[in-house]
Amino acid sequence: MVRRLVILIIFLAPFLSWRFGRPQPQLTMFDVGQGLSVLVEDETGWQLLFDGGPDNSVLAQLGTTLAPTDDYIDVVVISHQHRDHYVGLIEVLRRYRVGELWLTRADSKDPAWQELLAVAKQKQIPLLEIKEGMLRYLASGRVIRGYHPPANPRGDEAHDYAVVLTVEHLTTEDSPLGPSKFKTDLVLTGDAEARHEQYIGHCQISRVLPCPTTGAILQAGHHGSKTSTSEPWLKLLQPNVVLISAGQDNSYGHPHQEVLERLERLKINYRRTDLNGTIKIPL
Amino acid sequence: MTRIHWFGVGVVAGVILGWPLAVVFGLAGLISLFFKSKSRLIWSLLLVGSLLGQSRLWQYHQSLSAQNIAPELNKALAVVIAPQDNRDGYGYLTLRLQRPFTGQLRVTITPYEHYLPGDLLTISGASQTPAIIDDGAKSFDYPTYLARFGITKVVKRPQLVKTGTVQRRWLALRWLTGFRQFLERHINLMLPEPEAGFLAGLLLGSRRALSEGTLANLTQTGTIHIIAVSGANVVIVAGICLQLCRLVTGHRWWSFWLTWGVIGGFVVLTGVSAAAVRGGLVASLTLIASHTARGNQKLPLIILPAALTLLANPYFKYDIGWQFSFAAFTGIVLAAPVIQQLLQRWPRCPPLIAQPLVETTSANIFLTPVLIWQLNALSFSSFLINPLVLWLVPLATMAGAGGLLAGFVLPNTLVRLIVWLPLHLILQIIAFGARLPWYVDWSS
Repeated sequence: MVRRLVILIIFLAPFLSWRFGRPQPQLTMFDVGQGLSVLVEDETGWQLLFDGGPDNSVLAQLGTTLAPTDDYIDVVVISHQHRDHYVGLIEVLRRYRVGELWLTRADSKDPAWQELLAVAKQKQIPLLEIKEGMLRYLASGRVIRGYHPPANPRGDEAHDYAVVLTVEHLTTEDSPLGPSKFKTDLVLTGDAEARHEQYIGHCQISRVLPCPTTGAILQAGHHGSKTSTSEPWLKLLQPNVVLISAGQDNSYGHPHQEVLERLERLKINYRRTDLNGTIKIPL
Repeated sequence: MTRIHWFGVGVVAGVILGWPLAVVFGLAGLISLFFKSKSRLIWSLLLVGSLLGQSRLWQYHQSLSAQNIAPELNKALAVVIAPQDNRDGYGYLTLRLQRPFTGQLRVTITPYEHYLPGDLLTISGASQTPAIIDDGAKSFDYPTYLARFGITKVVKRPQLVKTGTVQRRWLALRWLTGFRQFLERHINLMLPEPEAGFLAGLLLGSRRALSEGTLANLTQTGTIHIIAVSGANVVIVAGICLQLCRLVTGHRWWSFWLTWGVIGGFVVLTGVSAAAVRGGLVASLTLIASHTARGNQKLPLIILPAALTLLANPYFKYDIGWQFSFAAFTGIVLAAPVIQQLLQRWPRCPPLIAQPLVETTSANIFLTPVLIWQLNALSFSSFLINPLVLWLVPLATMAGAGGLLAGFVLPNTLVRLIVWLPLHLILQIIAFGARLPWYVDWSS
């Protein structure tokens, strides 16, 4: 038995050194079918899981992405209360130690949502309400900034409370819209629609919040639906690459042809989980 | 072959092949009477066995058709009789209706409602007769699948209300279900996926935790039998238990009875599936044989468990797990000695590889026809992947079981790593095998 174990360890040594190596700042958009789940890691190993997809497939994705001894996630974010975004998180909260749970509202009577809150309560995970203007400084020097929802959303649908977050880092460069201390690396939009993108776009006029800088990675809103990823939004962000999370042959037809044509017209690269599987990009 | 074995063959053949076979046995018996053949006793035993098997099948059919379930249930009293099965975003409950109705139901609920065996409920909803599921590419005989559990009706999204009482006769199953859930929770906390689901499959025969990708890999490489609790798993557990008992008690009889208790507990813990029951009987008979110094008799281990499980529930013949388990074990008993002899011509083959190679090749020879018949598929990679992973399975099982216990005392990170390592390697080899273009599927 001991001999078998020794052979095993020798065989796996190169692989283990890779799995337990230094943390890399990267974004992983998991292929969770028709849903969304994105893992963000920074240089210090700090992790943020943005949504958990419609089922437990996120667990296998996490298991193959994180080191096998890693059972802690710093922050789990629920972008809004639709099942394709949070059902997988119920089991994530059960199995992993989670530092904080960020969400926008907690009033749904959906049994799945109630189960999620019950698990969070049982495991004493602190809940934090995300709002426009929220800032979280990380030890790596990066910043998480909340752009949506506003304090008083205009509608009462789940999408009106959709979370839009950016991951930024300190820079001395200037953005086209004026000097900025931070450069946007990533824009996570959940299921935010064109009207919410337009609301964030008001940053150009109101200057209450700095506009996200150009050249970031953008998560296409609502799985590439034509109701999101509007042209003004794309022109404001001028993203380096757009990531679309959609299920293979999904019944909604996501991503919609209009969005793909829009991206091609604006010469913006895009990648899709339904075609490319899980997507990993360095931050 | 003794008389009881011929009788057992008759039972198995009677249940599986039906009345025409009984006629064949009867005619052969009659013919043998004229020729004063010595085989007349064998033909008689086969005939009586097959008639008994057929009678049991007929009686099971009768009990199913005698069920009395109203098409519209209004606050009917029912008791939960099996652990809740959560998968694919749904929860499934097996209920037994109380008076004035008789019969068993499969109820679809959300996975966020939680029930345990013994819970007394009132149920309101429309009951339906299950239909064959056909998506164009594959067809699934759902009525026969449910009939195996004595279920004749299904109710989707009923209104269930707990009465607050628990039926005493289900207390043992209730406790075991709670214990199984505790073990599953502990495995899930100890390991990441897909290793956690794989270990739950190895130790508890639980498939629901496995992702679709892992299940597809296991099927394509012909290694799905690893996670279906079968004779092999039960024998591994029984072997470990017997050794431990002998070490601790130092008493032969105590070890015997304790091991038997553990086998029974393990079979119940793994959900009393057809394959687990058959495996439990194999392990029990092996235990008796070793205790009575008849360890070299392997044939009874094939026939008697098969006959007994089919007499207990003739619909086990439709259970793919039972078929796999029966075919693989028959292969190991009948074909392994021949392959072992062939392999002796290759003296350089190390024992670490030779034993799994012999076992998997012989099991595969008998498994392949079942795979072709049931799944309309053929996996050539199983002949390569099985020998590569099977030597690791006992190691992974023991590391997993040990890790479950050690997790309470040792640092979690260390335990996590030790348990994860062999499981991960097995899954990596299987994933590699699944990428090979050696799987032929003509079902679609």
